[in-house]
Amino acid sequence: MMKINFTKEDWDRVELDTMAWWAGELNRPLVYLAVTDPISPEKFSPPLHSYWSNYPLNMPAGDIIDRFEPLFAATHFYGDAFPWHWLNFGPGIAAGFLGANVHSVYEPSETVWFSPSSEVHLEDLYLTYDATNIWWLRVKELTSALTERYGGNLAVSHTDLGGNLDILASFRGTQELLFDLLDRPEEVDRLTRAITQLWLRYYDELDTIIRPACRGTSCWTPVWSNGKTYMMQSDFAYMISPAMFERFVLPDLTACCNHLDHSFYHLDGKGQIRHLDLLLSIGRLRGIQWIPGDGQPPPQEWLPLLKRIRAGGKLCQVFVSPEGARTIVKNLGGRGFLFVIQPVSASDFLNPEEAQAFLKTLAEEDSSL
Amino acid sequence: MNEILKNIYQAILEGDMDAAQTEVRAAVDAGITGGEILNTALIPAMGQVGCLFEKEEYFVPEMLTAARAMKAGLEIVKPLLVNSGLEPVGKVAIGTVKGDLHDIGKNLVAMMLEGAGFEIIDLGTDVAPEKFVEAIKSGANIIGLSALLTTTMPSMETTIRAIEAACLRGNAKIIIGGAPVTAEYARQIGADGFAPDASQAANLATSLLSQ
Repeated sequence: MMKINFTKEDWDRVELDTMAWWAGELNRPLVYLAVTDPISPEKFSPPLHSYWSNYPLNMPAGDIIDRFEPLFAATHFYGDAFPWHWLNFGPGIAAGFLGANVHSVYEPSETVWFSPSSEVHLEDLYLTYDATNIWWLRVKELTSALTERYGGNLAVSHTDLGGNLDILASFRGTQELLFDLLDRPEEVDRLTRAITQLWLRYYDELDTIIRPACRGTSCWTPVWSNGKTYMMQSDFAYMISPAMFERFVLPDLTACCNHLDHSFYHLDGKGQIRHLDLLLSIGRLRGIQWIPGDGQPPPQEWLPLLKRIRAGGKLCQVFVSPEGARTIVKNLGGRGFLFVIQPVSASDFLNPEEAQAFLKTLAEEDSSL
Repeated sequence: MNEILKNIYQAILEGDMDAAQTEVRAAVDAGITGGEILNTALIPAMGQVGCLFEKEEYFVPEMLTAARAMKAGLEIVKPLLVNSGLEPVGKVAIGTVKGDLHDIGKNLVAMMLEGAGFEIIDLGTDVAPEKFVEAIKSGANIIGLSALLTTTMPSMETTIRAIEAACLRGNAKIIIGGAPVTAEYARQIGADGFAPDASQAANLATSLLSQ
């Protein structure tokens, strides 16, 4: 096994600061800065799939992990960053666990799609837990294999389970579900309630694999807790009114927040901003991740929105350039933010002194200190 | 406006497909021409739906159900329009570009264009450039290209270059749209126009054909 560049003492430090951040007691932002040394392409031949679902189902778990090892070993962690890996099975693999078709796509870019396995009337659609589902077994197998190999030194993520309407759309088709919301809302209520219960069951079963082996939990984005954390989402919410969000999505989010220790919501795109007041009203929701979306200005150009999130009492995660993080700390203060730093070029921060200098500058410019 | 036409207009606004069909049949029985039903009730209703969408009073589900009601009414009116020799405003071939499987935005634009009096050829999703070229050869005078991903946006440019290579660029106006697409990108790749949403796409197509 290749060595991960992170010690037990590093984990102790990250745990202390991160838990203080969750409690609102850290007077600075968390800064996730992970930098991977350039790796010779020969190490990844054939090319590495970032989606674990895109490896053959009969490929041994250990062989897949072997393929990722050079990546883990070549990564350096600065600030509050920690070794983390997202076991990526696509956006909303819970649909696959429940019987939807899972399609691997490699061109023009790698992704995974879900589609209904058969045409079923909404009234006849019942989603039930299947302990023998091939995707569910595969996710558990790979999660176990990763935790067994790396133990407490790697934050093995809960896979991306999906949002309730996103999962349902994989069975109905997006357009049909949009019609269903107006045509048969009671049936949608029934199915979304069922999905919430199934989601919690999948979460907890993965939790029993992950938490005893790792030091805590993480999810499909680098956020960590020594309790139960997750970045909840509803991509479908981009298309619906606040009234529909309140009816079909909010109960699910509230139930999940009540179940988790440290919950976040993935606010993806300007079409979701209309739901922000409802999100802020969920008392147990601890934070909001703002993703402006393709073609939109970067997060530091959304200062009024970020201010609204913080004023609403929520923590905030953004993916930003180093300059973007500096803009935010200067204007709003860094307290309560989690900056996932996106280096502008592959050569940035390869020198540890450069990374430390950036962190020092960020602290000096932080108006909340 | 005649009471029956008002009812058609209202049924579409409310996304009530059954009522739209009933009222359109009643209009036909009352001797109202297909052209009048189309131009006085169906098209204005979809125009109003577009306005409500832009004002964030309607959202995608409301827009889709309104379009579905309009389509149901249009099916009844279409034979009358053919018989009366009324031509569509234009012929649009629309599709999501190669490599992209998203279809809701494309479907909304197609419905709004149909509601504005255009004939629609829906090429579907993951559409190869050659399919758009063939559509122009078949008489399409507007090409609508949709993409939801930055990774598939380059397929828009590839499609435009394929249309140019087939010497058909002058035969059709090309409009583009999708979440990551901008007016600047439209200019950069040589499209004739960009619309930020389905409602504005219908206005754009209409204005391009009137130039």
